Amino acid sequence: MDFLDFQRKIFTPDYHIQESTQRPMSSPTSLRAALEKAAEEIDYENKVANNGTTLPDGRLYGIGIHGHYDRHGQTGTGRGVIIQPRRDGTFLVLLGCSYYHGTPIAVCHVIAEELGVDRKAVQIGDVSNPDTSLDGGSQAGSRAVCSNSTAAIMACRQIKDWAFPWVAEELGVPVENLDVGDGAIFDKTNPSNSITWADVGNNPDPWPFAAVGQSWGENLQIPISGPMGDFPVGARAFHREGVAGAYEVAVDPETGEVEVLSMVNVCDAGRVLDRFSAEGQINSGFWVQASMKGTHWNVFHDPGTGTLLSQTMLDDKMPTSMDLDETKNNPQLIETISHVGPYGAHGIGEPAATANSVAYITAVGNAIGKIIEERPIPPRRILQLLGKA
Amino acid sequence: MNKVTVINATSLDEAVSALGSNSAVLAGGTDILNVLKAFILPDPPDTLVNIKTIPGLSYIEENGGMLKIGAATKLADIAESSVVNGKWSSLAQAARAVGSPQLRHMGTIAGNLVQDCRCWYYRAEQMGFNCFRKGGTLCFLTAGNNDKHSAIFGGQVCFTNSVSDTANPLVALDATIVTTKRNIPAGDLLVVLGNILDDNEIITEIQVPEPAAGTSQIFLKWAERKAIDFAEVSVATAISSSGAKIVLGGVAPVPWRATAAEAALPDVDAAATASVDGAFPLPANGTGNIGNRYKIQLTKAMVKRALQA
Repeated sequence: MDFLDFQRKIFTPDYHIQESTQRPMSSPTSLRAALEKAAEEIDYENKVANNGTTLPDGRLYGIGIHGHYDRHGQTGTGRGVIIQPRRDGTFLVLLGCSYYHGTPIAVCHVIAEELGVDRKAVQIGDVSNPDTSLDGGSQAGSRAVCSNSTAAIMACRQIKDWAFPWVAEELGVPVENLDVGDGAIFDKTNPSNSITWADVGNNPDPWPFAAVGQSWGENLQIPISGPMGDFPVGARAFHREGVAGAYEVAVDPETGEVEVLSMVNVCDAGRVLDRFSAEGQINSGFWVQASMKGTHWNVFHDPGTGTLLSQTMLDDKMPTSMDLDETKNNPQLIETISHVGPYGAHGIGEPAATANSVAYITAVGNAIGKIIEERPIPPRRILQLLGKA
Repeated sequence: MNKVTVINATSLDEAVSALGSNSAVLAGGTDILNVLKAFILPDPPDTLVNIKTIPGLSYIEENGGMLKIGAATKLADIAESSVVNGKWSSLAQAARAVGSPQLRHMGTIAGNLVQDCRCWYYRAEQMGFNCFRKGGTLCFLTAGNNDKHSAIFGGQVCFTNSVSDTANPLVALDATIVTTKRNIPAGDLLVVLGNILDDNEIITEIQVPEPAAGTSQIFLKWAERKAIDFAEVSVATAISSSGAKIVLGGVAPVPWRATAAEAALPDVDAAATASVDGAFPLPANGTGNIGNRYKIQLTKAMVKRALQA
């Protein structure tokens, strides 16, 4: 059994594989899809027999593949969003993640879409401290976009539940006829019959302090506050994602230098919202993991005192474009549609970085005929493994 | 970075008179400013004498078979010079191997020759490790983490390695370093703890004689990163019917003549093997440290490739 077969049979057994139309999609189904895509793109099954062979220039050939579930950001990543409607038709947002990155902006877009208002009408609270958020702060990144957006959608529902009955009465239509768009709540049968969110400020009902939405990652106790897709209140949901990487490498046995001949990185993005951005995520993930964890030993300490010796970017080596040829990366996106993420999407920031290094090290190990149980593996370490240092 | 006074010298005489025990020359600044900003030295210079403001220190010319390069000539100019790329191609290759385009457009040939070492113990902030180079009594590479920045030849009180790429072809090509006081053979300029220049001595010119007809020369560099990195091992060769020079970089505190390898020529395999005669790798010490024995293999491989090129 080669490594691909091993992963098929152990990680993604057939009895866990669903039909592609079945929802919610199981993790093994997502992973199997990613694995098969990676294998196909790099022609793994036709090339795996070449492992350890010597290329015409004397270097050793290796190919490796690896896939796994990315659950990064799940444990303890419950999200909460508070939306405070203002009487001027704008909305103040506080959310459960660090404010120092793009996640809040992405969530604001989701809220604007859900409430049918301009993005500028959704403003992030200036409480730039994650400790003030619902769950005490959480990780940032695409996972946070997914979870916080889900919470935001639920909070938006609460706002609609509060506003729609009064608007329906004012417009003289059933609540079911109402929808949002262009900064207003309107009658779907007669869109010109509408009330703006600013006019909703005239609602004599008690003004809500805030609408609160919550969602959660696997293992977190906070329950989902409303049904979402196929998930009822209290249902267990998780942000699964199958990711797989495959590498072809040539190892110089005289210097330990590794050249990546080709590589493919597959991510199940749930649904791709922006292909350019999504592929960019994969490329950056590949860069971080294949380079810093795969090839460069970026932390050195003095064994006697524990002092960090690699204090500058000279010794903490970020590879240059001369070291990693990004044009050889082949990012691939698959879509299995998430029912807990906004519009079917879920995060792909970190996943691209995770399967990568294992596939890389597997390829190097296959080239030199050694089982490598460590990372990173800079050239000097490869020479050592080859018995030449 | 501590406050420093910068003197923009307009002549060599003015620069020399401004230099003293607590001052340093500023040209490209790619090394000295790094040293100052990182608070490396316990007693850093408080005065920098800028020689970029001295006219006539940047030039490349061939005169009577002699290559003459002004001390303040930028590495990028040397790398791209048709004159240097003609008869002194290994020097151009070495200049091209330095740092990055930005560094090569700032750094000068003289600065590259006398730059400070990159030992991470030496470069640890201020007196974190009071090593020999800072006036202490110990080289921390011998008992500490010596995976990198360490020598397998020629270590005495200090076991760091030389980092100048251009020094190696200059030694192989029998260059002379002209200063405000004297002419120094390139092979004598650098010593274990630095260089032999006096406090008020400035390099003014590099002179490289025309290689003998039929001389083959090459500079090869192996670093963990292909740009913005210093050589783990580099090789400069100048081989003709009248003699051979193989100079190694990154493996000793100074450019290291592989005389045993030179003697073993023309047998390439024997020369590669002989290139590490007398090597004294530093041992691994503690978790994660693998020592620098790998440099022996790298040296053999690089010498072989240089001789086969």
